[in-house]
Amino acid sequence: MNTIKWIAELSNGEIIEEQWEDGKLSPWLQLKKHCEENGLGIKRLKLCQGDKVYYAGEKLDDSRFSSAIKPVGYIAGKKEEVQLVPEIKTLARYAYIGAVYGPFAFLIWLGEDNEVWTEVRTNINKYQIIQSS
Amino acid sequence: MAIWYWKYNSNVVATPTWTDMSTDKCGFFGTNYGDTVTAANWQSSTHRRTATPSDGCGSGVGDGYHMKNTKAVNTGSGTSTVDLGAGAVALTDANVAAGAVTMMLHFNHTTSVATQNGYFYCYDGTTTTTEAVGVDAVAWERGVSSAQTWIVINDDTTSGVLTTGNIGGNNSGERLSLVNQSAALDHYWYLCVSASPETAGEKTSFAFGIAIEYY
Repeated sequence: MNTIKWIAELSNGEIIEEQWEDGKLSPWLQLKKHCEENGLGIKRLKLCQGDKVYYAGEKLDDSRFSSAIKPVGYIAGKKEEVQLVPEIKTLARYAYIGAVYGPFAFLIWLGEDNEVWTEVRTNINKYQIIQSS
Repeated sequence: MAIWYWKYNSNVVATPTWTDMSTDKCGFFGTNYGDTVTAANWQSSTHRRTATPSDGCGSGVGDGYHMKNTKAVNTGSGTSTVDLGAGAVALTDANVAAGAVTMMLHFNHTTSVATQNGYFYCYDGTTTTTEAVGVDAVAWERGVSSAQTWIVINDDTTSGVLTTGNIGGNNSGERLSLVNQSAALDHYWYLCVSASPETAGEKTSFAFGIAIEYY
């Protein structure tokens, strides 16, 4: 089982990697705070699992895609499925990144068992969004 | 690292003591532990059921108290009502104190996270998207002022007190949404649950689950 983590490239060239530290704000909220306090945005966001890498809202480096819409922001999060009986235990864990395009976001999900899928989300939590650069 | 607990109030309503259910189950019964619930009726008591099985609730002062019972009365159109032991009252925060709910879900993370898209659901114990077998169940979250209605989280067939059928599991429109919470190490949700057998006989393909996002 490979750990899933996001890596963000910011508008000032900084590379921030998801890193969980006990007692602190979650890495995504730390990144959001850092961007807001320093007037930064996310230039690229990717989700990594072993040697697999998935990009959110990536514009292909090809002239045929020069008019592709650029995301206005990005989101990232984790999900847990938990059973309560016969004993409380986590059934599954997932992680996602997403590119926000106004009223909807295009998400890429990864599971700890290496499954991959996509979601188009319309109920986006504005407090989760970090602006793009 | 995330850790989940589900707890019940083992003290009086006014001064709750939240006791971890650990590996025990939540059992819905008639008047007392072990009493059957007549088909198409909501439970009259709720108990912590040990693996033995036996009643894992305490019996009084100094030994803890029984799980609190929140019996659904009206789950249809009009005002949702609940019987906490003294007759039907509207399902509101004012009427249902935090210490009167069936269970408290406690999500602890060593890092301060915000939560969203949380769901509490009922399923068959095997497949999270499949309804529990032979059971009707409703749930309600305390502390959400805009929500004063029982949500149907399981209605296996058209038999029983709920007659739509094919409802249950972690599916849109068939689960209770948990309120989003801002960044913190500990998150709590206070839930009332009521259950009814659609037919005679013990219902064992019946479990509760949670799905939640955090960031």
